[in-house]
Order: sequence, then C-alpha cells, then structure tokens
Amino acid sequence: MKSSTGKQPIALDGGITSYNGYWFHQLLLSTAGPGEMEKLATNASTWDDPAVRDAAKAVEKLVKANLFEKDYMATKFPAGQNGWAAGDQTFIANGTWLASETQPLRSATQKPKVIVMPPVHAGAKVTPMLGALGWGLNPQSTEKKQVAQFMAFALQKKYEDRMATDALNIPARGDSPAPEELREIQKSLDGASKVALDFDGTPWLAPKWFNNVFVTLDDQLIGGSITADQFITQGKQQTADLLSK
Amino acid sequence: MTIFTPLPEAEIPSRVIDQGNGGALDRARRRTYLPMLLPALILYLLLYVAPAAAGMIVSLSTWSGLGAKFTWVGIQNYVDLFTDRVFLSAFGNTLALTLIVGVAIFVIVSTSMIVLRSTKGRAFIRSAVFLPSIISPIAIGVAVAFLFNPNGLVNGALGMFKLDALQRPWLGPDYILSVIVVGVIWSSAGFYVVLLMSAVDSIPESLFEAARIEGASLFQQFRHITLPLTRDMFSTAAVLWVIAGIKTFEIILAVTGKAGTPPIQARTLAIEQYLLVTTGADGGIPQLGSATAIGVVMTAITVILILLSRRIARRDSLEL
Repeated sequence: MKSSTGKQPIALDGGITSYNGYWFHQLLLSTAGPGEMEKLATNASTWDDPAVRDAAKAVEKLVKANLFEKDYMATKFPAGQNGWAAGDQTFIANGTWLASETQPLRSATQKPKVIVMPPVHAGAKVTPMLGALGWGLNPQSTEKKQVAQFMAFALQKKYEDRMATDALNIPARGDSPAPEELREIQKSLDGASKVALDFDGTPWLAPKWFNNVFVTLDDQLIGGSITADQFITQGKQQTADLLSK
Repeated sequence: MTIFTPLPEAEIPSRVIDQGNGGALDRARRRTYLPMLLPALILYLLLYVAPAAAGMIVSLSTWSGLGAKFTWVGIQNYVDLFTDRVFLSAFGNTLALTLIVGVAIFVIVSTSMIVLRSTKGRAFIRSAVFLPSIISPIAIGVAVAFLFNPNGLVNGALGMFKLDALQRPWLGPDYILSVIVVGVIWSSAGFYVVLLMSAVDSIPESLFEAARIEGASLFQQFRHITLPLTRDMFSTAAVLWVIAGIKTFEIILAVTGKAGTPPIQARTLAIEQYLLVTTGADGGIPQLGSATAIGVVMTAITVILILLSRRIARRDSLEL
C-alpha cells in the first residue's frame, strides 16, 4: 500500500525511541487493555500472553509490508514529522501536540485529524493514552480557600478556551471545544471508561526495564532486525534476568 | 645585562649551606613546612579527596538523591553492571570509540607533522584545523546528524556522483556509532595537531637540514627525528585524549537527540550514566548508586589506559 506519490504512507522518526514504542504499546492497548505493559515490566510470564504476541505480530506486519517511510530508523528528528506535515506521508503515530508542533509547516489546506490508534482486531475496544498536566493541591494545606479561588480563576472558560485557540491543546473544561484537529480524539477521551498512561507509566515505575529492555528490543522489532517471536522470547528472558537482580 | 654565576660551594658561608639533617635551615624549613602546606592540603582534601570518597560510597548504595533513603548494597551495583548486556555494550562502544578515534588522531597528527612542518602557510592551516576544537560539540553533533540524514548532504552527494550503491541509512542502528566516530575525529583532531606541531617547532631546523643533506626522505625525517624528539608530547596527547574519549557525551546526545533514549548502538558509558541519573527522556527516579558505579568504572578505565599509553611511550627521553 503506497500513497499516490509513490512514497510509503507512514511517517516515523525512528531515532526517537518513544515514538517507536507508541506503535507496540497502542496496539497492545487494543489487544490487552491498559496495565499490560506494566505487567510486562514486573512479571516475565506476561510475555507469554497471546495478546502481547498479537500486538508484536501487528508491528511486525507493518514493517514487513514496508509501510513506514524510507530509512525511518535513520531520520534526524524532526525530519519524519516535518515530512508528514509537508504531505509526504499520510499517517503518523504521535501525541496530540503534533497538531500544534507542525502547524507552521502545514499549508492552509492541510487539515490533519488526530484519532486513537485503530485496534488490531476489528471492532475491539480501544483505550486512548492520556498524558495530563494539571494542578496538585496538598490536602494538608492551610490555604485551601485561597487555592480554591485561584483554581476557579485559572479555570474560567475564557482562559480554557484559549488553551484550544492559542495553544492548540485540548482544554480541561468539557464546554471548551478542542481545536478542530483534535475534536475526534477529544470525543474518544470524553467517551472512554478507561485511559492509559504513556507506556503504562513504566518509564517512571521501571525505568531500567524501559530503557534497557523494552526500548532496545522494540527498536529492533520496529526496525525489522528481529521478529515478533524473537521480541517475545528475548523480552521474557531479559525481563526475568533484570527482575532476578 | 647581569650574569649570575654560581659560587663554588667552598665560597658559600657555611651558615647558609643546608646540612641536610639538623642544620639551622633544615630545622627552619621543617617548622614552616606544615603551615605552608596545610591550606593547599585542606583544599585538596575538601575539593578532590572527599568528593571522590563520597562517590565511592554512593556507588556502594541504592540512593535516588537528597531526601531519599540511602541503602547500603556493597558491590551489588558493580555486579549488576558487569552482568548487564546494555552496560557491557556501552563499555565496548566507549573503548571502541576511544581506540578508533585515538588511532585516527595519531595518523592525522603524524601526517600533519610530516606535511605541515615545511609547508607554506602552515600557520593558517593550523588555525583552520584547530577551529573545530572551539566549536560546541552540540553544534557539531547536530550538523553531523543533518549531514548524514537519509536526505542529507552525504547521501545527496553520493547520488550526485552516481554512487547510489554507497548510500546508507547512516543514522540507523548499524552505522550510527561510525557517524559519531567521524564527528569526534573531525572535532578533536585539530587540537592535537596544534599541540604536537608546537613540539615540532622546538626541534632545531639544523637537524632536518642535516638529514636532508644525507638524503633522508620526509618519512625518514619524521621517524628518526620528529617522532623521538616529540615522544613526551605524544604521550601527553595520548593521556589527554584518553581522558576526553572515555567521557564522550555531548556529541552523541546531539546526534541522537534528547527526545528519546539514545539507541543501544550509540550509547557510551557517559550516556548510560546520564540515563541512570535522569532515567531517560521520559523521566523517573534517578539511580545514583548505579550511575556513580559507572563513574568509578570510567575513572578506573581512564587510569588503566593512561598507564598503558605512558608505558608504550616510555623510553629514555632525548634532549638537545
């Protein structure tokens, strides 16, 4: 499957390991749901779960079908996403920030849409990934009243609307519409009963596993140098080795 | 012009001659020795010995920073490192980079010493080759990455000269370390060329003239005059390079980018240490015990390589 330009349809900055990882994790969310990736980091036997194999096989299938852009593992970020913004490729797996990040590069006629990753098995429920930035209130605070006043001030609709119009992000208020590019994903988030953290939070919860096991094997899987079966065998072995220390 | 000539010992008043043991000057020197030495000793202990000792202690613990629990684990961090394939890969990459770049610099410097010594405009050439040494390694890394991007100048030039077969995904896992090595050589060689050429300048021209009259070629002049008389400077340069090479960091981060974890093929010990201190681009809790253990290993390798290079270069020094 190639676009009418003769170029592969999916852009990817393969030098960015987390962008590579999004493919496996988002496919895993559709086969196993949220929390599976954390189990992969904390229990080596989880690698035997057929849902993990399905997700890995789906990545392998994309690689073998030659759908990613030429030399995707060797692009200097942000060459891949800039190529997508320029219209060289049709799809890219990334965060919602990409809409604002690439806006200056897109022509006025280009109207990208951000959607959740389609499921591996048609009709399966998809869990969107969510990274939220917000305010944290210390329950021991003696200034709760002032904090509440500040929150009420900061969350006024006129300011939240500008999160969409000025920052091109999804506002926290339900009555503040997202930018046009993000309306679909906003709907998915609003309708989701569960959301997942990026990589189920393993970069924070199990950083050594994430950096040394997952990232290195996932780079090889999406780079085409190992198969899905090797990914699973080696992932299980390396996780067991790490957990035994 | 006043010329001072030393007095024969017999003419020096006996009270100023140091008697070695028990003389007045010796006793005075002993009394002032400690007070004079103490400030420097205290500073050295505080600024060098104490931090090094603290680092050694942290390397024997699990600790994530101020306010976190400090747990003594003995040599476990070192055991974990030397059974971790990612650390061993970074270890190999670091040694390979240091040795390959070191050999390349030696070849470039030796060639420069042969060619540049008698070349017209050599001062300008030296300045030109020194220039990359004063450019930020970050800037060099980014520039190198742009050059070697799949659509970059390198592949473009190869295509222009109908050498498409030589085009490669240079920044991909199979070639990225080689690209980094090229960048490090380009940015570092000039410094060592200037350093060694300054030693060449101190060799009397008459030696080269005599060699030329005897029919010695440029290479023979290098081998029998330049090399022996600059051996000490070569040794110093080797030490400086080993120290710099083992710590190679910024250029790698600039080539691979901060938005992700550098691929395993591009990780050096310094990058691996950085990942443990910051736990990569996605955040997390620092692992200062393991990171400090890597620092101790880096220091140990540096010392070993310095001793090796000094031993290789050790010969009776030649003086003119």
